[in-house]
Amino acid sequence: MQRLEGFSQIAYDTNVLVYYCFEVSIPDANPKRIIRAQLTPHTKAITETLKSNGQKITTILDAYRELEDVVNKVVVKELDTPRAKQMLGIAENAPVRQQTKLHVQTAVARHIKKLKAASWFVLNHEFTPSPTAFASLRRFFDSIPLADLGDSDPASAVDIKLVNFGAVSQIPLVTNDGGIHKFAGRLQAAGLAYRIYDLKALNPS
Amino acid sequence: MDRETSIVGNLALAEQWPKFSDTEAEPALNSQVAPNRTTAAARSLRLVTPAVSSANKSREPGEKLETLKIRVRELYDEFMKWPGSYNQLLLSGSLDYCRSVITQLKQSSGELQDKMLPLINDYYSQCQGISRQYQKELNLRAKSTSASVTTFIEERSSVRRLNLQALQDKFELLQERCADVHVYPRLVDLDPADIPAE
Repeated sequence: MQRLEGFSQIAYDTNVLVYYCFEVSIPDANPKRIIRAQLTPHTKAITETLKSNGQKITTILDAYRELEDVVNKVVVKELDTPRAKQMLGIAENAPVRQQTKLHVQTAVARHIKKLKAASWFVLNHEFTPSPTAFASLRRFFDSIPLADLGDSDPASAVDIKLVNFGAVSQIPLVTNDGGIHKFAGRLQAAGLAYRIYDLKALNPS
Repeated sequence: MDRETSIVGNLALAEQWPKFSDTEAEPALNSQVAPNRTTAAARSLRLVTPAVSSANKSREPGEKLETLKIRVRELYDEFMKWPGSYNQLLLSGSLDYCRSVITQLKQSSGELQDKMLPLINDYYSQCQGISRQYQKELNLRAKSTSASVTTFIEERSSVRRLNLQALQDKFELLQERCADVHVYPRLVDLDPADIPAE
């Protein structure tokens, strides 16, 4: 967390916001069940530390707008794991019903929408990358061989805007997207990015 | 296209469609173009409600429930084939909920069945309208171009751009009604381990 000290704002990508909000309780279950994504406790710990330091979390409007699709992807991926089935109290060989997935999806999306009202969260409505900067980043990401990406998705337009947002605003970007953080050093060396951190590599203490 | 500027009126359009009871025949099509339709999907044809046959009117509630359950299951299966998205899960998840409600309703009184069946039927019709809208759009495209499998997938993918907030609100109301009459809990109160097997 020392790496994030001294900054008044830290940028999160949409996945990180979703992990932060992915905590759904089922009050009527006995015993009471709480469904979390695997990275939720880690993301919460980091965010709570930042909040206690008076730092704010920010993201750009384009990243925020894609939250529903990101929520869907994360929910479907997380709930199809044996770990999630255990949390849900259903047998490992039983499918997770669509109505359960819908409940979790709706709850997580609702949490994220509430972020807008949080005093520690800043949604940047103004930022737009310059066409030149966007094109330079696009060329950079397009030049990455598929073999170097591994399992990661290639950078999307929103990813590029977030990287440029960090660079222009001199704000560190926290992401779980390997298609971005794996290339942080090269991006910085090329003068295309500011600091980019892998969510999993951050230590909350 | 941005979600916020997308086909907000699509659900309003679905509201205009007939409410198909489980006893009704499949709807017919005519070529009347409805006003205020801003997209290609919205320019497609309007459905016309056929008359309900007197023979079907006399069906028992249990029989109606079973018929509706089959239809809900078929539509659910259709949405399960669509590419994953927030809206796809809204449609498939809410229909899965309806299936469970119908299962629970079978153990309820005929009076309660008669009360709840139109509500489920109404919600089902809204979802069916969305499916039909896309199927129709697909057919129109197939006539105008040589539609490929890619086109088919793209068409179904476009459901992710729809603003289905009104459908979501309607589903919330349906859940409240089901909980109020103690047929089935709202999703927020439902223990996944208690979902009835189908």
